[in-house]
Amino acid sequence: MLNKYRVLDLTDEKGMFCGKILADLGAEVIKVERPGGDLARNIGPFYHDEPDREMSLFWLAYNSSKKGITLNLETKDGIELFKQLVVQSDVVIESFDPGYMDKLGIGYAQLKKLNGALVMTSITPFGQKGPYAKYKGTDIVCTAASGYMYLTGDADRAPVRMSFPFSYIQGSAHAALGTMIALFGVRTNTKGQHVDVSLQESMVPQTVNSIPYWKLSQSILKRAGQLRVGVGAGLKPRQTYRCKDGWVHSTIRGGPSHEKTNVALADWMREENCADEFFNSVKWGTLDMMKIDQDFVEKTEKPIAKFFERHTKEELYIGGVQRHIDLFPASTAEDLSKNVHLNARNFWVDIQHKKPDATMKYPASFVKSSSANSRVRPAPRIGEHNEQIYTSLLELTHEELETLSGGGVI
Amino acid sequence: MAKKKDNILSGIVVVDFSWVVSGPVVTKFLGDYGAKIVKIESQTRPDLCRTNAPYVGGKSGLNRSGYFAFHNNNKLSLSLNMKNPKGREIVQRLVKKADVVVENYTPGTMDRWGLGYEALKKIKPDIIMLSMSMLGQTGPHANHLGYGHELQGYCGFTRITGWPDREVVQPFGALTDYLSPAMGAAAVLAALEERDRTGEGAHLDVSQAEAGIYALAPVMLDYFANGRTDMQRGNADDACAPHGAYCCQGDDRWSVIAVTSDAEWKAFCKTIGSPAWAKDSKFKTVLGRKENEAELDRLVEAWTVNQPAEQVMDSLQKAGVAASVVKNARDMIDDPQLAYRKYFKTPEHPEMGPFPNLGPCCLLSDADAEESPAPNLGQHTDYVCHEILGMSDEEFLEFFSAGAFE
Repeated sequence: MLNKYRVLDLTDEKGMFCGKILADLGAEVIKVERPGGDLARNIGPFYHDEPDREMSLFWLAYNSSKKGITLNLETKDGIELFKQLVVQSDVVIESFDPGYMDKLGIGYAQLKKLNGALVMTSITPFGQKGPYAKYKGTDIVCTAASGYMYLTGDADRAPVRMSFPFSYIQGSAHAALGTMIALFGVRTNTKGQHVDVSLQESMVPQTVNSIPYWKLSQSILKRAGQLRVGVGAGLKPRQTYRCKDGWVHSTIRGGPSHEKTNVALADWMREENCADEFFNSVKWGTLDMMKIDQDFVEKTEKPIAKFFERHTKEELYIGGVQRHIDLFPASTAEDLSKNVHLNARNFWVDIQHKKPDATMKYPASFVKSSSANSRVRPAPRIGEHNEQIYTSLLELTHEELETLSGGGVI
Repeated sequence: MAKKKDNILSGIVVVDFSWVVSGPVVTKFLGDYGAKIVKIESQTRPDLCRTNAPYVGGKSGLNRSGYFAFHNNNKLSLSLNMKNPKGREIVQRLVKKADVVVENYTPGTMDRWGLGYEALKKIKPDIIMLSMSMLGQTGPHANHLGYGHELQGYCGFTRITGWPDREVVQPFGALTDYLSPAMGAAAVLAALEERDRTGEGAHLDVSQAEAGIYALAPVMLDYFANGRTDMQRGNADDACAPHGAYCCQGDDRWSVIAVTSDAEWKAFCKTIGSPAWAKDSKFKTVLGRKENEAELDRLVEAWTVNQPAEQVMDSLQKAGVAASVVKNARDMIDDPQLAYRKYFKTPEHPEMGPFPNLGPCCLLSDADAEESPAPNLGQHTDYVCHEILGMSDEEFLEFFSAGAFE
């Protein structure tokens, strides 16, 4: 799709997913690493658990589809080369502490003078300015600060974080969108933008209706483990159920719009003699969640739970598809790799690496366009595209490259 | 309605058939920076979110839902009867003037209304259509139904959340509902760039599930490379300690703390008053702190439990250590950083009064986000017909009498 944009990607783990999205939308994204490689290449797990700067699975995943060069921004030569690259690029993405790029002489105000149409996208825990701008933020801190972390976990323990830095994903996705919005502006009036993304702020939408609940009914939604909160009358219907080989997701919703799925599940349960008298008495079409109590909910869920325990997640998922029941497995990575639907859509693509010397499956691009589609490419090795980028874009000679490399600039 | 000042995306007209959350958040993000979002609504089949609590004043009503209002700001609402041929004629006229059509129905729904991509192309050959269903437009399970609350588990998010000594817990909410829209909207803007360059439109197939799984790529690679499929670490981090949520003073108040280096550990010890236990050599290195993590967590919590979470956050951040209150909804409305960034626009909603909305996806140096409230159902029928479609009063009356807007 957008195959004419050139993006210089200086991000660390907080923002690498942004460039990945842009690359899979067709942009030429050049990952700019310090000589020796990004520090983020130290993030585990590694291929076959062998710690190696070119085998970090986290790094490989989020830097696939990008090119890679090395450049030392803490040298005068490095800054000069960077500025020359900026003049020939459309976007710079970075996730340094606010003010760091300015200190180096390559902040937005400075780069704007070189390239007035430049879009600079900055991804930070809390944003460029403000009372928290100088605060340190890792994923657990940004997620806690956003109001999201409070809402997950068992009621009798501390709120719990996903065992994965989700705020980096959410913030990076916002950054990709912000970059595209700014680029649209560049096309219509040639003025660049400084796009300011905050990880804390990007996570706020994930709190769904908890802020409206506070605003309108002065109630604070609290975590409830496998139960769902934020349902009208303070009910807590179950959302995660145990099944034979793991867990599935299904939840009771009322009203005529959910009659079909509820009846379909009830029918299936009756076929296997799992519906009890109470369950059979429920009038799904007129079920009003505002008029029942928690006791009713639990009485209804008891036979459902028993029914789910008799089946595997695959049986329940396929049965759900066939019978039009809102029922999904809590997939493991293995489940997803074997998933019939994903495979039919060619969602898993084989990517061949030089290092590791292996072929691994990756997700395909998140969008399938009827026009042009970008191919997922392997992440770059350290400095893999130095020669290509520096000799073609900046017309450096091989002697110059050698000098700069020896001098720790590249 | 006064003519608004142009914003970055003011040149884009979007016909918005989407409903519930994922589709509406796409169009909200575009509307935030000026795109004209014409939300097609119907009295008889309203957006499900309009029928969800919480309601203003505790009283239900199609224009009183806080859940709906929160993410439907900066849009115009056009009430149409899609079963009425005059209603469908309005849609066709709108599409003629539009750049983008957004929908998130089960595949086939738009085709049944005569508004599938091929049909839309006949009306406007370079139209961009974003179809953002749960599982994509093709494939054996494309018509499976459900909500983001269940879908996020399908993507793998549930199996990586929870305590190592307990069952999994699903992450709160519906992660794909608010993750996939940012990606879908970015794809729309990419397709518009392509259209401007080549003259060709596109049908974009974004599966909410695939967007979520794509985002979890490292987890998938860990399986493909190393055969691992589960991850429940509680609040621990593989690479550092202390790292977790610690109980503070008050009712259900917590602070998270993440000490990610030896330098930060020194600063942490100083901030907590350099107690004797902190000088123990077993805590001196990262490895040592990890190996003795359980004990370390207990000692840290003995310090936090006697303080307000705000104090833990402030004192540690001042010392250069990452920490935050585990904020709840009340904390968020009063959050000083969000307030500084003017994140919660609180425009006057026609029926609900001043109501906060989710802010834009980011801040821009040279553009401000729009500040219109979520619309009442059909609030802009008149405006859309006159100002966007250029209808005369007589024409409008014709359509009105024929029942096009019911």
